[in-house]
Amino acid sequence: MTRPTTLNVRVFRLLLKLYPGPYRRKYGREMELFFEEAYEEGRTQPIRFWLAEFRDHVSASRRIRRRYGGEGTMMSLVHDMRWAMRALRRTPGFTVFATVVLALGVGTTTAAFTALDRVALRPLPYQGADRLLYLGTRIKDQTNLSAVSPALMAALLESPGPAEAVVGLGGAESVLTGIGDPTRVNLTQVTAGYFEMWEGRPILGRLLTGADHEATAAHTLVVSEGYWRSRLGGDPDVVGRVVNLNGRPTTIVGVVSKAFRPPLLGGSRTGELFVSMGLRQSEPERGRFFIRAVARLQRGASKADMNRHVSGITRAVYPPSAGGFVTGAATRDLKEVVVGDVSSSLQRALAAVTLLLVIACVNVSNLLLARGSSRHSELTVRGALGASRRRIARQLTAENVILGAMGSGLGALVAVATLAAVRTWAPPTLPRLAEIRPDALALCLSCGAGLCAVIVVGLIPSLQASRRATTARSGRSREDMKIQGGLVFAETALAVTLVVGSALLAKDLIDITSQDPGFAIDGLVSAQISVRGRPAGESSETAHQFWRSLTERARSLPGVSSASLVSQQPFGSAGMVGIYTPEGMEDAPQGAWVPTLAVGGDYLSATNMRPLEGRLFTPAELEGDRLVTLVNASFVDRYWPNEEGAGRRIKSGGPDIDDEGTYEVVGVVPDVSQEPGLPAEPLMIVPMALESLREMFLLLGTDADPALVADALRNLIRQSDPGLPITSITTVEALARDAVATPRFLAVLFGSLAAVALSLALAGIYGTTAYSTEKRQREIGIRLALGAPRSRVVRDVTLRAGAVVLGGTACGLGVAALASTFLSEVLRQTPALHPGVYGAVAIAVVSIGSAAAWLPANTYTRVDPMKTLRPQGP
Amino acid sequence: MTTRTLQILLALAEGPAHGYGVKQRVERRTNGTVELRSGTLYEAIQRLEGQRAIKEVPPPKGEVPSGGPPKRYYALTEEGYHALVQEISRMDAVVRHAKSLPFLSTERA
Repeated sequence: MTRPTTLNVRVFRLLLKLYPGPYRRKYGREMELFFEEAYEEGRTQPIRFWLAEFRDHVSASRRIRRRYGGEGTMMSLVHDMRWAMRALRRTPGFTVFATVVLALGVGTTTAAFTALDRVALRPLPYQGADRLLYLGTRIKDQTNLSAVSPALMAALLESPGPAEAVVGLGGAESVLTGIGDPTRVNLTQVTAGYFEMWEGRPILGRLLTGADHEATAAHTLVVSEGYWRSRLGGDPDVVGRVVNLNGRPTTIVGVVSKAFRPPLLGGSRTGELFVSMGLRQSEPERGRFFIRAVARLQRGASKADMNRHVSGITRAVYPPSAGGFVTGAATRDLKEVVVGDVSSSLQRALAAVTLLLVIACVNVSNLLLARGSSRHSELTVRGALGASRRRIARQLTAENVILGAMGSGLGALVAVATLAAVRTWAPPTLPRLAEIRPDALALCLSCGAGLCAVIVVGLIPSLQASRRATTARSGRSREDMKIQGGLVFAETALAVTLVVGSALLAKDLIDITSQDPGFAIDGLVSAQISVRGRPAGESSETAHQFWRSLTERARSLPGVSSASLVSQQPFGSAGMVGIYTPEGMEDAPQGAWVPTLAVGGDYLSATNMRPLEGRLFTPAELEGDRLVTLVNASFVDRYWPNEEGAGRRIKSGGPDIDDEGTYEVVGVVPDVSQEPGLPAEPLMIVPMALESLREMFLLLGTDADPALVADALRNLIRQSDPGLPITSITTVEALARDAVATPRFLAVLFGSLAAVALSLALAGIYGTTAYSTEKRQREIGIRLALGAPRSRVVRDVTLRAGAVVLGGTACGLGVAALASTFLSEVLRQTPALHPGVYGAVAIAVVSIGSAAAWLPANTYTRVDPMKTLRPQGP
Repeated sequence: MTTRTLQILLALAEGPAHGYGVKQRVERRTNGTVELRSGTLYEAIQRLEGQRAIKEVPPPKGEVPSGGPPKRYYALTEEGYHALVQEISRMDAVVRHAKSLPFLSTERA
């Protein structure tokens, strides 16, 4: 009769392994029966029972082992480990190299996996995260989903449909006065329910409630804990304090705890001050789409339900019959919107580092194989002394286990360091960056994988070595060479794959940065100024007067050669977008949605812009004497393909709107890239005087030190208007650098991985050639003694290794070509199958690889034939 | 002879027993002051078997458990019996000598 085996019995059986085999076979069963009865008695105090049991078996088994003159399985394992440690200590060079190689592979893989897991795989850290949807508006001619307008947001709040809750946020830069100097603050406008949705808790006072969102409510403000501590000095009496926000007295009602982390949407920054969006007006705005809306579905409701509901509401607010620019609505999973295309980048990185791990494993395998052969005599002695093949293989495996453990341990440190580096160096646009932290699960998983990898990888070398030790075969085997050749082949192929990938990214980066941005950026300093600091209700005449005089005074600063105002920072995101009807589109149902750049002062001359057709603005036009515009080449391509642009007309507003004014195109200018490497969008450039702006950039052309100019400019602005907040002042060159942050990050990441992979492969080539040449010294000695020229011997050895490298490279190029589709999405300029890149990599790898083979070939053939021909020991 | 060995032999002197039976007899007689666990017990059993002081015997009639697997029973051998008697008389001599000493005499107490 069989009884179920309990966990206790299983543990007990493990304990029995302490005893030698014959003893266990004789008494083990009896002891188990004894144990079961004893456990029944002792079960009330299991811990005490087990402790006594362990003590008893450890001491009894020691006496028994002495009686048998041998060891139990466990003791012999301990013994194997000790032996392995000693063996590894004897060859510190090998041990350190193998550990570091493994650590690099394991560490980088762990880091990449953790990043992918944290950013893309895990649900967002909010309640009901899988039911969160991002709501957006489709606008004609816009490929991306746009945000929603206040009118739409108000309608959605009124009727949430299948959603449990709908919230919206809008960002606005504002000027805060009443606390020290006027400062520019990052204001977040929120709708009712915003704090509840993202689980905000007040640490002081209260959060915004329904009453705060009423149209008649007093202006209230909630500040973040970070802002409260850094800017308000952690003042405990802050609740009730009145500050001035954009000229409106506003009462601070509470402080939200730092655990409140709403998702960053549409490039928004972490909020510092939160105010009500104030949608309860009689007529909410319909023309501006800036509110990021998120809905949490009711349980059981589907995305399709919400899609239908949002589309219905959008149709009601913007009836298609009225012929507007809103074409519909759409919903997307919030996580998709937050994480964006980073997920695929991370998958690429993970694929690359996994290749690196495989290369590291192949390398270690190669090293172990060579090590096994070179220890032939030691192992043969052990075999002759009676060690079984199994025992020798077990001892060698013990070495591998220790190597794996050390590699994984060091790898964990590498992973932690890599993640810290990623947090520091990654472009700040990477979502959920703060969540990228090493966790126990990822570390265990990858370290376990590393350990398994080295055991599996070490198995063949261990079996080879142990077989040879016990079958009295020659230490040098052809089979070994074949396996080693195969490993070098694989290593080279994998390294080439990575090198091609990184070379493509590097080439792309070079192409992007060497591309002409469309204007001169040297010596330009850009200062960001918020217009909201100007007195409210200022007439546009006075405002323009003020800006004109500020520009004049800036131009007369020492070291400044030009000063101009512009509505959008070079390489910044599109600021103004308007609806226009270009000539010839009068019968189209809707107008064109065109980004607009307003410029003033010396902008066109300071950036050295040259017209392709027509001319630039005259000074009178810059002062706003009539409606004129410049368009870029893409504009002409899109709306008047193969035709002249200069002299044509563009009506402001859609075709259905009566005359709001018509711009005359005075000239066509080259495309100005906003995102380097990406195709330019159509753009209109209008004189600043024709626009009223919320935000402006003052561009100064200078040949002096930008830091000095920045100081002078700060003083100047403070003198002109003490209420005007001074924000970032930076060189346009720095902006250009920031604009390629993502491609640069990818290029650096892949470049460093490829460098590591290539050096590992070279080390493999070098080591294998060195080893095989050393083994062939007798043969080489004979050839030299028979009169063969040394150069020929060197050539033979090098060619043999070179053939393997060549084969590996060819294979690697093929794999790279297949895998390059992975990269084609991130490459902005370079085609994924760029023949030059593939050719260059092939030539480089084959020549460096051959050099790595030539070096040892040259060294080891520099021998005295007589010495190598002398009879050798065993 | 160690206390444990003596106690095991004494237990088997009562008649054949399996491992757990030995433990129960010893603990009952010593009120639990001598504790036997499987490691120590079978180590002693192996040693005593090697010295031919005990041997394996077929389970006594009527003591074969109804359901569980058969257990090995051990009994004292001739040699074991002599060794036990010798040890006890040696201890007896020691005890008698000790009691004759004035400062340990029971009369004094």
